[in-house]
Amino acid sequence: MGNDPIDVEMLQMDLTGTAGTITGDNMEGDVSGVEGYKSLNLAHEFDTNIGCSDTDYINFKLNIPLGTKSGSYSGTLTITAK
Amino acid sequence: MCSENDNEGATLVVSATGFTVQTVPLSPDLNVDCTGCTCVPNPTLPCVGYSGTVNLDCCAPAGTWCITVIATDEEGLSDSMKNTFELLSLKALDIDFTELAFGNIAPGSYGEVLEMIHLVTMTVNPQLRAWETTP
Repeated sequence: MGNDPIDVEMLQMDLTGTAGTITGDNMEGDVSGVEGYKSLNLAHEFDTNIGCSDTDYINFKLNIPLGTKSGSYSGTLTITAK
Repeated sequence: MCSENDNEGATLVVSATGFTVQTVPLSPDLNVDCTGCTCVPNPTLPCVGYSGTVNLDCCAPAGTWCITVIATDEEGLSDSMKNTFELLSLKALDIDFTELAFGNIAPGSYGEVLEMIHLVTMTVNPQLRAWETTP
């Protein structure tokens, strides 16, 4: 596995909990600072071009809108090599 | 000459643009099927197959690779044959986390998490196996 440089695509589904829903557009990601933070509710492909055995970092930021009810929320984040 | 005893040796050279050339010796291999091979210039002599294995590094780039077989007889004369093969592209990703935990975040603010990803190395190296029948 893995002999070709990759870009990284990320998609965040809505976060749900007993108290309600936080929509996926509140989750942002930034891979190695190449493009800055991008909303992940729509699949976004980061032009990372990560080489074999290289390591990159991802920063995630979750915004909590005013008015969000207290509680635990969870949702699925999908990361795909492109 | 065509029989095993008449051969001084055979070598396999594997290379790709911008990547280190690998050279490996070939050894007589009775498992190689020589059916259909004709010995030149003496068709009555038995042909002998040679084989060798090249382990390609996990970072060996995808694309067209060149393979050259060089055979040398007992007189020191040699001949070569070139061919190409395509090493397929394989993309994979290793993620060092299974969960993002943001902890407690107040409404109207945000939380941040830093995680790592990398292009994984292969658990099994791709292998190229080449056969040569004696010239």
